[in-house]
Amino acid sequence: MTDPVLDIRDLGVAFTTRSRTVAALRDLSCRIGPAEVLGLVGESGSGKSTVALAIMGALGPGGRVTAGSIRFQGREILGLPERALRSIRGRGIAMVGQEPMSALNPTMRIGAQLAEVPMLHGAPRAQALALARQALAEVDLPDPDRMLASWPHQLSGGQLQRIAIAMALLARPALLILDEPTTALDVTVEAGIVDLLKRLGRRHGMAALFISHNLGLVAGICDRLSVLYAGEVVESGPVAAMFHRPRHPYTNALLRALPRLDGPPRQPPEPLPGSQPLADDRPAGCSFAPRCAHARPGLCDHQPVPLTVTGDSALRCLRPLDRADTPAPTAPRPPPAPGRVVLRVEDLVKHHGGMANPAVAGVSFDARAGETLAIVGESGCGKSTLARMVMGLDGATGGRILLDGQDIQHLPVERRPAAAISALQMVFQNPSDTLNPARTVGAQVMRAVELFHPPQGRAERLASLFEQVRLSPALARRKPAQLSGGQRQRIGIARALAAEPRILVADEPVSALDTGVQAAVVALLLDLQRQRGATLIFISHDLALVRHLADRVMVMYRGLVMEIGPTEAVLAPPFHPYTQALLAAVPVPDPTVPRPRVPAAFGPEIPGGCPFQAGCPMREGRCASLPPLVTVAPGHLIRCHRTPGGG
Amino acid sequence: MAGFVLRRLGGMLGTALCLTFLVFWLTNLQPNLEKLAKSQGSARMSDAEVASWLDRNGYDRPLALRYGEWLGVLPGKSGFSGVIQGDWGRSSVFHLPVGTVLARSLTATGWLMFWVLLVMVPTALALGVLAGMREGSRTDRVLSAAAITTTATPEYVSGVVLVAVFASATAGISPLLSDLGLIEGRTLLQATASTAMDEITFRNFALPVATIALYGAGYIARMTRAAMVEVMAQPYIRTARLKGVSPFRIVWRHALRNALIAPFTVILLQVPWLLNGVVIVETLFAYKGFGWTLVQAAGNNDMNLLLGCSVVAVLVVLTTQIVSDLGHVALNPRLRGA
Repeated sequence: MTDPVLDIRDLGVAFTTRSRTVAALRDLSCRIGPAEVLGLVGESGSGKSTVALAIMGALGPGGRVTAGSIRFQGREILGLPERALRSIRGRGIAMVGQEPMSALNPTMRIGAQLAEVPMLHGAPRAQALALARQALAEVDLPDPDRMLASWPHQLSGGQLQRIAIAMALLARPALLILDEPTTALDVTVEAGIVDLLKRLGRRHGMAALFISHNLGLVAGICDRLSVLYAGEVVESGPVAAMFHRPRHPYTNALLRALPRLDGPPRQPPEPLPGSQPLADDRPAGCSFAPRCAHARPGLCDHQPVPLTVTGDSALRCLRPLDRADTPAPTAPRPPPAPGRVVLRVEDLVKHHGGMANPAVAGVSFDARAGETLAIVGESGCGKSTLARMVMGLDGATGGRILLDGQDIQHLPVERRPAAAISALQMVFQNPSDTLNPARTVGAQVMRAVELFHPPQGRAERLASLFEQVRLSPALARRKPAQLSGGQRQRIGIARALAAEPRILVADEPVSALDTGVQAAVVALLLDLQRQRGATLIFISHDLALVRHLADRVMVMYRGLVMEIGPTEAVLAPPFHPYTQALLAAVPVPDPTVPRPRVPAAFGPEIPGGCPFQAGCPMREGRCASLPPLVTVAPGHLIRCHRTPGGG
Repeated sequence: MAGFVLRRLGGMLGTALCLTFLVFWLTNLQPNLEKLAKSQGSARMSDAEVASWLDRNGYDRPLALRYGEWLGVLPGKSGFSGVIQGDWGRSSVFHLPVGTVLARSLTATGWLMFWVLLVMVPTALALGVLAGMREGSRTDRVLSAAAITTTATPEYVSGVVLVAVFASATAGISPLLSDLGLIEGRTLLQATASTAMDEITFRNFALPVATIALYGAGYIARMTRAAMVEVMAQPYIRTARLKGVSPFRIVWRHALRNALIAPFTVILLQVPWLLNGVVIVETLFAYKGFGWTLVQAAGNNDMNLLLGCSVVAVLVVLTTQIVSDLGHVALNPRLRGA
């Protein structure tokens, strides 16, 4: 076997806060061979980013390596002085982080930031700029001269991440660390970046460490995989084996919690009960045992489980899964009987002052009692603006919003009748931003109860709300910061439910949550909806998730409805080209499935006509005029000239 | 950009008109006019004599009319002659044209401000950057404590302390140095800056400059430190570190410009503050600058001079505002071409 590029053995990392020391990583071992891509997956808080920072020697003031060794190209790099580390950074190991928007200096031009890398290694300025130009071409960015002269704020997130990758590659590093490189990006942009990384990896034969919470992404790009749980590796092995035959119950649970585009539809992802223990609060035995359906009391909760290495796989489990252990898939959720129309939106328009294009350019749809309508699209498509107008948080420029036949478009939320407010409630995307950090969550839900219900029985109502969202009533006394992300989102849901809404608008309610928690929150929303016969308007960018929970789907792009119809019809041909691009961009959690090449939607914006024409692989002459929404089947409409019957 | 400057200039003109009218109205309130009549005529004038004096000197005409004459948009006794035409009236204290008095005192204060800014800004920025480079380090804590102390000490306290330490023949370090024969005179520095009106030397100017700079530097250093701390925690600083950039280059090339955006506005706001804040220091060190003149004008009910001072103050405030906005745009590319 050839020497590994990176060899981490028994690494332990601890963080010291004001009051105590917390172990973030425990005897973590992994190795990356030449030209090999190792995936490191785990939920937030599992310590995966800590691994990257430990390798880069950038743990920060509170972090400290407590044990183990990190060898890079055979040389121990732990404990090296800062000067020696600096020569390894960049040239030896480069890193791309997850926030492209803030990873580049806002007051330096792109060219200066890129050229800095070769100049650090002794290249003269002119040569450095030429290399920077070349690097931009390598990451498929058009018009490199304009890019070099740009400031970071003039570019999109996808472009900035490509520049960050170009910057990392400029020093020709032996190892590239990618820490959630696509998490902050739209799905189609993400797919483009992953595609780029794969090609670059093949071309340069570079070793890479790919850190992600997204198993689907990892499947497509990695050779081997390590799964991290509460600071420990629980399973590692070649990617195909890990996906087709996971042995650790946690790996299995992660895979089952993932919404998939393949397999039977209308099967919401399987939730993973409980949450990951905090680093200093691990149970005595296996860290995963309290959440593990497969654990055996007396065996798994007894003492720490060692990592057993067999060949190129490793496993930290006393009761590994066999194939036979995998439970049968659950029965698909039956579609609801279509109820009456409760919410009708007609030709809604929103112009933001100073912007040339409207944020919402004439959107019409119905929502019926008891159904789930998904609104799908990427950032900037107007889906959140639409939700805010329906809620009365934003005024519309034109059009009508009919709640039970009554037009409420012109009424901001504070002037709406109480019945309309309680009928329409919203669950927000980021629960940490929408809860007051200074008050207990119980008091915040109680506030909503007080607004909508008479004084008697309020305490019982609060208790029942906590029960409905499956939170222990003891949590009511906590502040938002003392809850996990999933718990906070449940509080957000409880607050919305306090009004007993008939229509619940959920704006990306799970996109900030880990896969397992995401599945649990989705299951909760669907249960509540079924029990109450309420309408759920579920705004999301994730078609794989939408496939399993929505009855109807509306696809938006740049303020326009591109396609709307029953879920099965929208996700099957005939497609709108944009729906097709969204589908192709969903990562498939199966390493053996060939991946379609995703077209990079980068062309310059073309004013007028079909808004998608710049990114459309099927563009033709007539796209210069805006196509109408055409009915292709009952209830299924597509806005494309190529649609049969359209144009 | 040109449109922006024009808009700001227009706004500035409007503000200047409003403010000067306010000052004009306040100085022309009836009790003040009576006081003026008595100080110009005789302290024992009767009410009737005051009224006839005011009538003779034209003070009983409508306020707007007199404001228009003062401004130079309405014809007065000798045609259009007001602020716009360059005729700012005569100072009753100095028996000189207001323009001459203002020019003299502004030159004096200009030199004081020049030296203060020259000493204060680089020191404050350097200390702020040094403290903010590593938040919570010993350097940071020492510098922060010092900055808070100097800012919390009023100028009339620090001025007196500085005089006692450096410019007293009986206290501080001067007697010691004098005994050792290290200085020629009896004191190391001079406690009065009156000779600086003719020639500025280190001995006569060091103390007033230090007194003002001490106070302002602490404030600017605190602002710079806060901005620097925030910038050093940004992901792009980590990006630079992980590129292998040296610590010096990180601070100099990546952090500094970003960290200067916030303190820049503060520094420019110090200029009008200096102009009016020099009152204490100029009085303390007997330096006949703008602050001293302002005190004389107010104390002696010299209305023309007071109005002149307020015009200058308004113009300086508004000019620094424009420069601050333009500089902000120059430092922060995100504000350009939006």
